[in-house]
Amino acid sequence: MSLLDVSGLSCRFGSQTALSDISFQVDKGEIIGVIGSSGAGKSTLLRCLCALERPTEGQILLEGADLTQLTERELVAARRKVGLVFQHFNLLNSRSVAANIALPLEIAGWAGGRITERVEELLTLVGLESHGYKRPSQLSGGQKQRVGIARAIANSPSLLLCDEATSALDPHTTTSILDLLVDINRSLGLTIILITHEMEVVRRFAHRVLVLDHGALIENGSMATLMRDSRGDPRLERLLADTRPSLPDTLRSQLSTVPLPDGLTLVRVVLGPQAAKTPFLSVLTRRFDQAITLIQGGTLACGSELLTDMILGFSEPLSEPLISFLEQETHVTEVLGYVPADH
Amino acid sequence: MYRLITRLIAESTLQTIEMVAASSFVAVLFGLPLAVLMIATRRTDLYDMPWLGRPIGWVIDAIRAIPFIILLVLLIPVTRFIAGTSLGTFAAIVPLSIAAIPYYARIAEISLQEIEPGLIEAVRVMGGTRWMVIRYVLIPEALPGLLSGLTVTAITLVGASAMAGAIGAGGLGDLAIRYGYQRFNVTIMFAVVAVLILLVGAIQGAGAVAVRAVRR
Ligand SMILES: Nc1ncnc2c1ncn2[C@@H]1O[C@H](COP(=O)(O)OP(=O)(O)O)[C@@H](O)[C@H]1O
Ligand SMILES: [Mg+2]
Repeated sequence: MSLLDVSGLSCRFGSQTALSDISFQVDKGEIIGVIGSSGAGKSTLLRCLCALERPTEGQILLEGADLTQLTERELVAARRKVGLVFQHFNLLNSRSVAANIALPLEIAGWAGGRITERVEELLTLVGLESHGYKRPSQLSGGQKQRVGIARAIANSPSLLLCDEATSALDPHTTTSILDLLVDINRSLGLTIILITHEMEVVRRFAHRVLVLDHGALIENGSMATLMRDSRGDPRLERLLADTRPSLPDTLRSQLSTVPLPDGLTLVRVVLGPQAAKTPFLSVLTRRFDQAITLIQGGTLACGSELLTDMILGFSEPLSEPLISFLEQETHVTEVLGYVPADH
Repeated sequence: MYRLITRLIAESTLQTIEMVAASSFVAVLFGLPLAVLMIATRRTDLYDMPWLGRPIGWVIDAIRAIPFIILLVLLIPVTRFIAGTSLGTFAAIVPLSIAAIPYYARIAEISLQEIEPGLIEAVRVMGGTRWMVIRYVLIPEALPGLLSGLTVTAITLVGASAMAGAIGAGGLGDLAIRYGYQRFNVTIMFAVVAVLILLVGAIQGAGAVAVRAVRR
């Protein structure tokens, strides 16, 4: 049985449909990225999963219990199985850092001595050993989010939800927070659902990606699959644009749709995990007698997989054997066009 | 002569402090729960029962609409019922409190209103009950505002207690009216004004210290 089983989930606010007929499952220990442009329904989905919002239709089974059928009293208990990390931290400034982390334990009725012990443990886990006495307002954004994470996992939830948890942070801090989340996922086996509008965040560490668009779930698969197979769907293309190699503007403006004498043929190729470690370009140059330049791209980590996505410039027009070789060896071969070469 | 003035002023100052302290205490005792009730019933993320809080707001505004000097007279029967008399310092505490409760309730409501909805959501999602939200979020997070509101209320009550002197409440206002106005004793008049200024300054200072202590 999966940890989380969502089926036929719909959520409407008056005439506005925020989620329509969403179904997916999450297994224990997975890291799921939920991505979609703003207004796609990501936050609504998360609020349904932590029982802050009651969906209009559908079922949410968390460890077998249906969150949509619980009474207010039962919901209070069910929510303790879910941790939520917020974009804007939402820490209480009337309490010290340690007391913020202690709050969910106080609420759950832990004894004082056990709380102190657990808080120490959590402060160490998130790397804030010496900051327990401070007020949240004295911390940097990254440190605040560490407190937010410690607070969310204090009561050992079975599911950790992150709503744009890194969107208010700079790139360096984002990386350190994501590393912390991956650490927690590995060491505690904690299941994490992370929603974000930043594809980069998802690409680096999500085992699986859910794509929301106007309230509908339009993709559910690994990031590598998504990057390989998105071709043609403009909704996905728009989301993926940031993680993709793209032509520099000067080249784009020179791009022609017909072959030019002496020109370069620009081709986007996407290769699977094995290709990253083989001398793919050398094979092409030797076997097909081509001079090849790398215009953009390279090998990226997609969750645990490697994916190579690049734009190449071929000195000669593509021959039939070359085309069939590329089609065989690559996931995607897309001729972008032709540009005049400089001599 | 000067010894008499000093004694009169010392006595009156104590009476004023007594009236202000007692009615400030009653204002918080009843005003804060009323403010919490108004906020918690209005918010859709808490009790979501606006029909309960709204009429309380109407009553509060109605009392606030009445000038204090008229309220004093209107409340004489109530004061007699509670205090046994309508004259004296103890009796003045009744109308002062009744004026201060709605005043403080509205001021406290403003501080409670400023609380980020995200903080309430954070405690809800931890499995906190609505009562825990009030106890762990609303009151502690609004505490600096609640304290500066109390300072403003106490200072307003210093002025109102002087007005209560008109019905023989004792205190500095009474002294200023009896000696300063009716017998035109300028020395006492100025001395009372000086003490009032000092008193207000002291309340303001103490309030600022308290706010700083809880804000950190
Ligand atoms: N409480 C609400 N009342 C009315 N409309 C809402 C509410 N919450 C969300 N919506 C609407 O639902 C849609 C999805 O919102 P949201 O889940 O916040 O999107 P995202 O987090 O992907 O940006 C938006 O069009 C938003 O206006
Ligand atoms: Mg959102």
